[in-house]
Amino acid sequence: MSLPIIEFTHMSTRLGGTLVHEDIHFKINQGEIFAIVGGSGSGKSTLLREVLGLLQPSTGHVTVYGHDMAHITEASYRDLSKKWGVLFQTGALFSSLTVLENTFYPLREYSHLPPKALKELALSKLLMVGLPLSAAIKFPAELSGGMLKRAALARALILDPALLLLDEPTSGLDPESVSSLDELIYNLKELLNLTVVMVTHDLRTLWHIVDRLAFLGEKKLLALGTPKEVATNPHPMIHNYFHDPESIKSHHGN
Amino acid sequence: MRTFFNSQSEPWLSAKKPKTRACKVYMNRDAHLNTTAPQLNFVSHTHTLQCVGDWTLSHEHTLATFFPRITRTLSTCSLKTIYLDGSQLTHLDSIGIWWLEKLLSLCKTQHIHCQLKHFSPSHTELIELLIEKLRESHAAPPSPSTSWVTQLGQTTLSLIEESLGLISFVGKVTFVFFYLLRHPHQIQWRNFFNSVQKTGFDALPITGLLSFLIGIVLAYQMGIQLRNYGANIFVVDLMGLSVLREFAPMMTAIILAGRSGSAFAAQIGTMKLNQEVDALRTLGIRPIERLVMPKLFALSLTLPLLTVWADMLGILGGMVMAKSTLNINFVYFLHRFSQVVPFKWYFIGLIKAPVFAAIIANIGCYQGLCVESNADSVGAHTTKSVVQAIFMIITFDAFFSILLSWLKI
Ligand SMILES: Nc1ncnc2c1ncn2[C@@H]1O[C@H](COP(=O)(O)OP(=O)(O)OP(=O)(O)O)[C@@H](O)[C@H]1O
Ligand SMILES: [Mg+2]
Repeated sequence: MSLPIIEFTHMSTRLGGTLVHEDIHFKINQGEIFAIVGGSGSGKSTLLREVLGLLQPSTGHVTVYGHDMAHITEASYRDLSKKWGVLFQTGALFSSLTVLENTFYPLREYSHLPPKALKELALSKLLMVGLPLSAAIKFPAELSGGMLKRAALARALILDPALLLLDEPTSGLDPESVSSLDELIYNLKELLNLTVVMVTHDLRTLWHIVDRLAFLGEKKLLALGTPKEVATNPHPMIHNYFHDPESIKSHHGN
Repeated sequence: MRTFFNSQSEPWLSAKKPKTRACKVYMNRDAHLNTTAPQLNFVSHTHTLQCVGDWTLSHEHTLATFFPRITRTLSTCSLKTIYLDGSQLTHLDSIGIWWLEKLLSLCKTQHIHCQLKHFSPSHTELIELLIEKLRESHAAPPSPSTSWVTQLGQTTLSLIEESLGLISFVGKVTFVFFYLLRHPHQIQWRNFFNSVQKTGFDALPITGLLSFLIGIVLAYQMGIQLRNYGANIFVVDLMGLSVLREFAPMMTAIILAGRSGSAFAAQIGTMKLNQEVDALRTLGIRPIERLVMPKLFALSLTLPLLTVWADMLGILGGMVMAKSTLNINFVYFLHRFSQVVPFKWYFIGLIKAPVFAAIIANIGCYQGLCVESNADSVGAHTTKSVVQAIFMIITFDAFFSILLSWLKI
């Protein structure tokens, strides 16, 4: 039960003259919650963009469900779009549509459901991610930062995708919301046997729900494994990431 | 350090995971090959509705056909209780659950008690999770709709508001203009020269070409008429009057309204969208001073210069046409030009240019600052900036003509 869904094969990326990744090589398997972690600017979002085919690696390949993203046809890309749900780091909601319209946008594209069904399904997804019904008729510009993240997550979930790609789904949320969203992601993954790939900076998320993680740093894949394994890695960057003295002190205080 | 960490993180590691309520279902949602079409069978002797196959998005059309059929069955069977059997359900997603919910509420309206049975734990879990939310969603407030009277009122109010806004914007710009005249060191020279290049230098080819073509067309059309009277040479007078006084300033202004006015609106509008304007504000910088004034100054310089350029190319076009169709050579054309065309005409044409520049820059920048927080609004306001600027340019030109004839100039 561990089919590889996403494969990076000796991949390097050069953006605007600077090397962002060098020889990235790993697989993400079916049914796991996989985290991509690393410092700011270590190329996590870039990695996701490569999975999505928005950016081509300079050398090497990215394969998603067996499709090489560099040579994918328009038709296969459309098929893939039905299978994945994407949350961008900044939300990327359509600014001229209401939250409700944003949420059912993918469903309207890929189905012929009556408007009533679109609306009810979208609303139920909005409720699921913890938005109040009153937010549905608002425009993205009228939402708070955390609400934007949730609305974007609802849009990512609307097609019941088999693969969830989330770029910092819980950044900018209060700790309680983080836990409830973590629980939601975990439950959905268990119930629908999803594969979840997420970029996150939240150590609690890492410990609670993540099965495996990849640590990016110094342009390379520094470590790969379960959170427990990676946390014991002696590399100074990883050590500092997991053992930030300040956070331990404050945790100790509690 | 390490032991410290361990003692610290153990409680985390052992902290309970989010409730693991589900048993794992190994349904490979990617294996599209083995999908089975959904069915809904009514087994009358056990009072059971059997859900079979994939109740998923890919079978939405089949799912939609169940509903009318089952409505008929339920209204004729007159049962008190029925069972919904999910034992043969293979895949289930939100769309399937939406139809299940429809089915359950149908039973409710027909006063039939409906009981779910033999659903796999994960399906039950999923149904519970979603059906609750679906029911809550019925309580959603309807999207607000407005009658045409309200819309008319709102449109009128927003028009008035916009006009007043433009007037107050022009007031602010004037204020900052005089402020900068007194403090010239605060002028953003780099932005200014940048704008001069974009609105002036880069526009040379297009304004030149269009003026040249207009000169050709004018000379040709007038030449045909004049030749009938043998008054070929008067083409020089007419060209001088029409190009210098009217066509060159107006054409240049209209080209720049389309070229630069729209660019101002789109640029400032996008900055507004990204909260860059707010960022400037919080840095204590007046957006008008930083964004609007360099453009206004630049356009006030480049539009008159471009008008002179358009004058030259327009007359050149006229000369070329006069030579080829009316047999007036360049030397003779220019000789007569200096005799019959008064400096006044040239000056009147040129004096309009700064006013046109002010119209274009003010309207373009104002529309940019009016942009609200969505992408449509950038498009709408960019369009408005061009339409309004051209409208104002032509209106002002007409007004100016009337004024001059009234003053007998
Ligand atoms: N379009 C681009 N052109 C040039 N360089 C880029 C581009 N996009 C990203 N980069 C560079 O690539 C690196 C990785 O960027 P990326 O957005 O992937 O970081 P990240 O790991 O997601 O960081 P964060 O945690 O802050 O979101 C950065 O150094 C960035 O400057
Ligand atoms: Mg990022």
